[in-house]
Amino acid sequence: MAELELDRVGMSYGNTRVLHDVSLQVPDGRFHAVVGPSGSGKTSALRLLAGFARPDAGQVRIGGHDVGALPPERRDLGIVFQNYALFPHMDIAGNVGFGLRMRGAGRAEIRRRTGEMLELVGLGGLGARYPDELSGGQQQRVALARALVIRPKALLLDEPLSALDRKIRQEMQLELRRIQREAGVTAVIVTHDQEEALSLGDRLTVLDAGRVCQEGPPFEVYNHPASVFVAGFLGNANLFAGRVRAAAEGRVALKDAEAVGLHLPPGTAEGAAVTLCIRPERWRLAADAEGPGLALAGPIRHLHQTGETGNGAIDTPLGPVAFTVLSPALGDLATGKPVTLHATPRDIQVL
Amino acid sequence: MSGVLWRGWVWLVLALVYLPILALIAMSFNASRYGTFPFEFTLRWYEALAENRRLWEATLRSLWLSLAVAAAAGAIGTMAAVWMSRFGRGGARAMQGLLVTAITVPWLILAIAILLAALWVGVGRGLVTLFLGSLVVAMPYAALVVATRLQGLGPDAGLAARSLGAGPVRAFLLVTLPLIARAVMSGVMLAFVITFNNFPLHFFLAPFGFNTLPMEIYSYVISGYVPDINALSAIILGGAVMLGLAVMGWRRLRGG
Repeated sequence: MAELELDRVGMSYGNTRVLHDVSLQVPDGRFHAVVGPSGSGKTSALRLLAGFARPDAGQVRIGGHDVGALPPERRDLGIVFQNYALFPHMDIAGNVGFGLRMRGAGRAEIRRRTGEMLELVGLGGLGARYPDELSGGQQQRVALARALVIRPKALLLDEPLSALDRKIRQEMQLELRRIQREAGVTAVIVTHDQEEALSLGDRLTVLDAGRVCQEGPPFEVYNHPASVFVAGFLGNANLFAGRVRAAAEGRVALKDAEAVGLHLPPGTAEGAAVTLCIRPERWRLAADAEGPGLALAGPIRHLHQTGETGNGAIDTPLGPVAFTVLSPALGDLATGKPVTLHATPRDIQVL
Repeated sequence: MSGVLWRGWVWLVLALVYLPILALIAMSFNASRYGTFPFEFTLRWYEALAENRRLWEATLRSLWLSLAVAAAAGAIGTMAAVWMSRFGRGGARAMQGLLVTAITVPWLILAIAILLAALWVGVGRGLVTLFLGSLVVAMPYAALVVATRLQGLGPDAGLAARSLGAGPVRAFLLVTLPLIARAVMSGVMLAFVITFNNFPLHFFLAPFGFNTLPMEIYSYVISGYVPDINALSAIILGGAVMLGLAVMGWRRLRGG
């Protein structure tokens, strides 16, 4: 086990710069999620840690040591690839035992530890099968077992769940978390799936266009996005452009409405352009516009229930505004019926 | 209607390819020396062939040359393909472009160019020149076949092996090579067939007195055709078919 670190690394493919001054610190035993849209450089960051690529600038450290000159086979990392990269010509036991074989372990030890690891991932007794005889979820577990059996210093996961269907994916998220805790291994997961990042990581780094946008505990990043990009990328967000009218009162003029009593970032001047970010689940259905915050009224544009929650949008002068409420709160709402949505200053993030 | 047309078209193509070959096999059993009818069954030409040392020796020469070139082309072509795969998509495409260009140079011109080069460095015609020349022609085919497979395979399996503690050589031998073995075999067979058939190259580069089979057949054709050649062709054809069946069986065994 060891901590992982990218220290102000830069990296290019040919003339394209894919990482700019990216830093990442994962303390021992923690699970860190790196999330970003495709092309954000998240996979490149993982390749740097794995040793499949070298940085142009900055340092890669494992357990405090600069590993810049170490080839992948000497970094002692377990890597789970997006497509699993199982060895199709070896059976499951052969796949899982490969790393031990490379380390010169004896046959009896390989058999014992491979068996234990297959138990841990819930595949006991499948050692003699071949990868193409297993389901996607099972292959995923084999890949995980193969990476963990060498007792790596850290586990690197590259979009490990993206090839699974939704239900198995959610199951595997829990599994992954359990196995990582049981093994007590430092882990980095790279994903474009914001839900996965929010539910798996102890901490979260949002990358965009090769730069770190924000870093922190998942729900802090979710609740206090530092930029319009982060707000829009992690979860859904209603974004309203506005201008500060009176800084002391937290008064912001929007196109056809006004928000009052907002917590503005310190030092915001009068007349400054700001963006208000309101998560759909932050709205309350209100009888009337009461108290500080922002109230928007309009007819319901569409409405659909997804089980425990209901999602909808209303038409307002600011455009369609999305909201999410628990199903019972939907009551007798119907498309076309006018309602008022209200968000208190606590529910509104000023960017 | 179009279905019938299509089927007819396919049969026509197959007929164009296989009828001459079937005719040749039939003629190898026909008593007439000039391939005339009526057909009269005989094994005489096979007996004559058994006595024809010139043809047998030429066949053996061709076999040895083709085997040696195929083995070398497989090894060097695989290495070249692996090397190419390290340059990412852009680099690999550039290298493939170069190889395809090499393939499109007519063999006659290539043969003359190689002969000129060989004379220029002072070796001239000879076994080494013939071997290297054949290798130059056959290697790009093997490299292309293997490179295509490597591109389809992607780097992840090899990288997974590396991350699990295998050095580059072990990762290649234990993981990448078994996964591209079929492509390597295809490349070797392609190189074999190309070398076996390459009359212009043999004609210009083989040392005097070292007649390969195509050269020997050519010399018969200009000096007086013997039906022994029909018999030999039938035998070679039989060997090729068996080899093809063996490869197909092998693929099935390996779950291909």
